[in-house]
Amino acid sequence: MGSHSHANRLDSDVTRLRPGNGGIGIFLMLAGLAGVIVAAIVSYTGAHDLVRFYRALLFGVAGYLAISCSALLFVLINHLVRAGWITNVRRVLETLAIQIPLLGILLIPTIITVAKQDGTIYSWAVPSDTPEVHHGAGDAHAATAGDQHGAPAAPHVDNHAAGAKPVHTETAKLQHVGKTDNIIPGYHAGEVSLPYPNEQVRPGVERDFDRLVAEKNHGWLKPAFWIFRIIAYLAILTWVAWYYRSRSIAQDATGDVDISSNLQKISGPLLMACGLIVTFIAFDMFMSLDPHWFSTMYGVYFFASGTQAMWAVMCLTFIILQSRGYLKESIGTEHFHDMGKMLWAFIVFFAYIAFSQYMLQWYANMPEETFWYDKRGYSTAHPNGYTPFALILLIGRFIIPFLGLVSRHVKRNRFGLGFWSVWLLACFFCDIYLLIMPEFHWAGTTHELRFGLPEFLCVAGVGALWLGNMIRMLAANALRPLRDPRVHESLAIQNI
Amino acid sequence: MEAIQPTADHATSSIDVIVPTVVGLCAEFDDVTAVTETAARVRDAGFKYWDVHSPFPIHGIDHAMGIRPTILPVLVLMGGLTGCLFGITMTAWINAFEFKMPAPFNWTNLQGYQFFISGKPLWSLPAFIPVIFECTVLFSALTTVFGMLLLNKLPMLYNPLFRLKNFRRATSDRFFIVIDAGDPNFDRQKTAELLRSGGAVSVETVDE
Repeated sequence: MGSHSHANRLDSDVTRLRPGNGGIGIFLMLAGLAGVIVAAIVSYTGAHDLVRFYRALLFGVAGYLAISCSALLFVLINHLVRAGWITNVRRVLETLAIQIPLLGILLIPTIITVAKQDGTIYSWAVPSDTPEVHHGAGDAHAATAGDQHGAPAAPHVDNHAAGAKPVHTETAKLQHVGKTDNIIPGYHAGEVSLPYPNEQVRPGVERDFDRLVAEKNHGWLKPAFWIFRIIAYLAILTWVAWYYRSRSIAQDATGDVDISSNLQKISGPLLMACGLIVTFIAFDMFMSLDPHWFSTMYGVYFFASGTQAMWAVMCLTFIILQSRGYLKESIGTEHFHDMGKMLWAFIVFFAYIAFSQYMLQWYANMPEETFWYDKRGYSTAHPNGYTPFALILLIGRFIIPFLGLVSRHVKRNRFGLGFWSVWLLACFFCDIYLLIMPEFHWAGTTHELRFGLPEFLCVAGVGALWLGNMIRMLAANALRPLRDPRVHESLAIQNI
Repeated sequence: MEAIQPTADHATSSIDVIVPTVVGLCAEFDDVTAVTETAARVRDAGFKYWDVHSPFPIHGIDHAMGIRPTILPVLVLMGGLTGCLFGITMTAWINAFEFKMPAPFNWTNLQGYQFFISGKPLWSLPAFIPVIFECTVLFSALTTVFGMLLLNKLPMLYNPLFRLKNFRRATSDRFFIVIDAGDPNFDRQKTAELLRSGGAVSVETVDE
């Protein structure tokens, strides 16, 4: 209908970042890199050697990885359903997704800790020999329960005696801490005591044998297999993100409609593959921090949490871009309203997912599941340092923003949308902190809240690297698809 | 389907001349842009009782018609909050309090029980949240559907517009603006002129 008037409007649309903005991106990246290096130095000179840095870096990368993975899934969903409205904001989404290789590079230290098999991050990565005697049943829990009932079979396999390799004393101490603390309470001590967790470090015991972890260590969580998988996941996601972005950029020049139909054609199978990969990234990298705990909902949790943060980042990006005069003609209040609706939808979806996971495990009340929540201070019986974070998830990440962002007038208001985006991003990082940090135990302490300079520098530094690289890549191309066949459809949207 | 004929045709061959009451004007358009622009003119002329009929939703027609935002979302919020309260009260009553219906309702024999389940507190919020949530959704959904029907004055089984043969194309390829004769600004000649000037293919009177 009014496509002529739209075309005229688009002529005055500023779709390229002004020269110099790419420089800002590179400056941000250098600052971020410096921050990460300073975090390493601070950590190295502190009490925990580089261990604290490795852990802080995983925490730093996790949030941005969730956002980028969710962005990639949404690029695919957008093509799959032939979404019209999203077209004019899609280039930023594609650029968010293509940050996956950068985050992959930042995950190299994590991968190194697994390769070194010293248990710095993952307790299952410490080599453990499967005992000769199997208790028949394949079920790890049954077998471990068998151990409790008097079978003194649990062999104390000693690293030093096995002569595997000389272990640094500091590392050995950490190994010891990492191992003991992650065992299900009661399994190692031969006593089951409620309430959970009973996580004190038992002095004088070099190493406990944990059948469940030992079996995982030889199976799904075999370090070499794990490293192979992580690299494969990141490589596939990178390829998909690169392919979708590069085709979209190619279309800017040619306006070839076949590109759109081709991307749509392959988006279905790729969405299935990438959905599984993101789920398995969540399982392998983050859920395996505690190899005893399992939840099939964890992958969805990771995706829902990341997607909520991703829409908050999208809203903020376009508010900032428009305040600087970009995309004034192609992005309107309707787009902000739509992004606000996605943000609000994922407030609800995240709450739904998070509560479902909690409610099922709370109701069943099985020790091998509930200890995970107990560690995070969810229990009213044993609140700990993480309890405020758990409350932030309920109140700050659901109840308050649910009511705050429910009105369409707030979603259509740049200030309102920006405020809730910042709010939700802050809550998102609390969530990531709560997912990862309680798994790390420090010699002699449990449930100690660690948020110091290394953690802050890692989150901020990785964030600056991520944002800087995004700005650099946005500056290299147009800020929106220029000749996508659905640009005008996106321009014409109306929220009734 | 020639069952309904305009009464005027019969009037010529009849002794009693029935003068039909004009209830409105119906203008036919074959172009979305024309109907949207004419709608804006009708809005600016200050008409209140009128409507646009289209085979599909027209982007921007709300603005062109000057339709004020619906109060349906507020009704749904109220319905949702009512459902939430209902869910909380219901779970609390039937699981945690042995409360009997008082005097006027004691014939119902309704009574709460204290169910001790799975070692949880009697009124245990996490366990009841699914029920409370579903009640909220149910009440919101019912309010949405019935609120929509009420606000649209549905179901409406008969409308004089059904007599117009051309109006049947409103469900396939034509757009219509119908102005009610009850509108304070309605003037048969001037209003027809207004509609024609907007590019109407035809303007017909709607008879009672």
